[in-house]
Amino acid sequence: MKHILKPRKTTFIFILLILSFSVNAQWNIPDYAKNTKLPTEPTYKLTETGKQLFIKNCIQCHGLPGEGKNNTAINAPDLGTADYQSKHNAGQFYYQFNEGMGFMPSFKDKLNKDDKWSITFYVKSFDKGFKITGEKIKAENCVIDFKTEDSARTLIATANIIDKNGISKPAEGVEINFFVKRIFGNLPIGETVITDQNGTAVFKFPDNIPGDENGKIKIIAKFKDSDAYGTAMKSAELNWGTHLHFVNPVLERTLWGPNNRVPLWLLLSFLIVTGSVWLTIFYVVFQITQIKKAGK
Amino acid sequence: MKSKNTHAEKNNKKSTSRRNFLKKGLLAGAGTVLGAGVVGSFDAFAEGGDSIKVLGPDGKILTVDKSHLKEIGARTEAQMQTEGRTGIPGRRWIKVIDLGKCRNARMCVAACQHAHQLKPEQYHVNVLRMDREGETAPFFMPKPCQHCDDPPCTKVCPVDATFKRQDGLVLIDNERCIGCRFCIAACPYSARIFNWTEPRDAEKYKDVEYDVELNVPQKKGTVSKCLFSADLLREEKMPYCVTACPNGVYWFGDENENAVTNGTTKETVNFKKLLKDNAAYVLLPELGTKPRVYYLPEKNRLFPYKYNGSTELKKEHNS
Repeated sequence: MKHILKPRKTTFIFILLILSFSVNAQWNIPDYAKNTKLPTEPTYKLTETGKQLFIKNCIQCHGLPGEGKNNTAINAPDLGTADYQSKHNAGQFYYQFNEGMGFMPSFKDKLNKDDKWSITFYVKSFDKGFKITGEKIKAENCVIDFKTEDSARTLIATANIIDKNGISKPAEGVEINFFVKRIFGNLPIGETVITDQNGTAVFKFPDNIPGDENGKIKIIAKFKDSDAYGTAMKSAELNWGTHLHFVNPVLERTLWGPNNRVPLWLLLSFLIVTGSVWLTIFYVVFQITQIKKAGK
Repeated sequence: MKSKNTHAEKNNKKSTSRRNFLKKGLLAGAGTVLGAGVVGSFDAFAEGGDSIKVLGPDGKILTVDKSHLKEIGARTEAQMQTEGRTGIPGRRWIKVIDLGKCRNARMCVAACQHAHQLKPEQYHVNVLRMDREGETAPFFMPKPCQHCDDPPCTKVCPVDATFKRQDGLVLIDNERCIGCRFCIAACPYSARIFNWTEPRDAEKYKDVEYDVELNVPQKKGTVSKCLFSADLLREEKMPYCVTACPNGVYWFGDENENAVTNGTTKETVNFKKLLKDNAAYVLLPELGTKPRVYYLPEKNRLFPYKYNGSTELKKEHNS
């Protein structure tokens, strides 16, 4: 076993070494990239948009920045680490991400310039030295609400941000998840929905969620990113679930049930067998008495 | 009538005294009832006294007048017996065990033994070391009662001590059990144990009211088994073993709701999808017992198999 395994292991490590060497060797970011001028001021709103795009395009290999869920097998770095942030400023990151190299695809034609910059701002927001302007969304200022359309079984969720003056304005690009209440926890249903510029998102309720006898079900809406938008939630009881047809198995006549619920075939065959034995005995006794009578 | 009246007149003195006695007695009785009622109503409406904070059902802190609170006494044994026999309506309890996550931490075993007054060598749930044929990898397998839908054990009980409830649980009544151990012989999963000796801390549990949903106090000479912690399910809590697991091995839930919740991570998932995605199986399906415990295969291990420093079961057996 050992003599087969050893060379395999070494070749594997060798291939990995070559791969990592080649991957690392080719990242030569030109000096001008460092001095790239930012097209716009980075704002919190742009980083939010960037985050949504990051989740769609980058999360598979890199994971969310700072969470360490990056794919190390293909040398995809965690973009949130202080080490990465210190070595790449916004321009350098934009260059890497635009050009691509090895496993890292080029996003030159895949995303437009604005989107690419908002992703860049999102990634750079993990650098403490990177200045972001604008109003930061405070978690406690976000409210969630939904109304129902019974005919189409649709939920229309709205997310609003309440500013300092108490005026609420729609929150765009917020991810909302829907849950149904189950006995030990909340079961997520369907896909995550994202609010549009009016702060609303439409969710089609699936029609195979089990409810109680009357189809009653408790639906809960929550923000997906509770760090940014808080734990605000809204719940409602609807009768959109499937009706529960509970058949109490104990009331059926089964072999495993109690004595008074014995299956009829068993009861009948028992009575027939014991009955015929006793009848035979009675018949014999009767015949004996008849013999006695005849002898008299 | 007439004769009776005259008779009464004749013995006037005697009958009056008897009547008076009855009257007095009646009055006294009514007085006590009325008094108790008045006191009770005063009790219920006395407001403005001490207010205390209580945890509401939705997790909010509520301020309640002390006089409005009622102490809920412990359930009587008769109550526990009837409720324990019928089960919780509308529920079908289900357990899923993910073998890829078990590393023999045995926290489930400890929590179970603690709750059900068991000795260290008595198991309602045990973690077994398993090995298949040939070059397969050994793994750990927690094995509770399978709470079969067609249980062989209840079929053989001569005294109706072990029974199946509407919510799918198979329980045993130690007060009724005569210790014949037919059920132990009938169970293909060896899920049942017998109290050969006095149970653990028998003195301590001496005066505890018997709860059929907890099998406590245990009784010498009777059979005991895993109950899916029926006492906790009544309070809408997950079983002792499920919440005790540090590695997320156990999923527990209601089949009617088609959802199971992980005892460690508290994540709730679609029950049927979980079984489908992970190629779940049941133990000894060929017997037709229809178990309510599902196993997810021992793949994508979180921890490599290791027991007493050895990573192979076979070597241990050969030595």
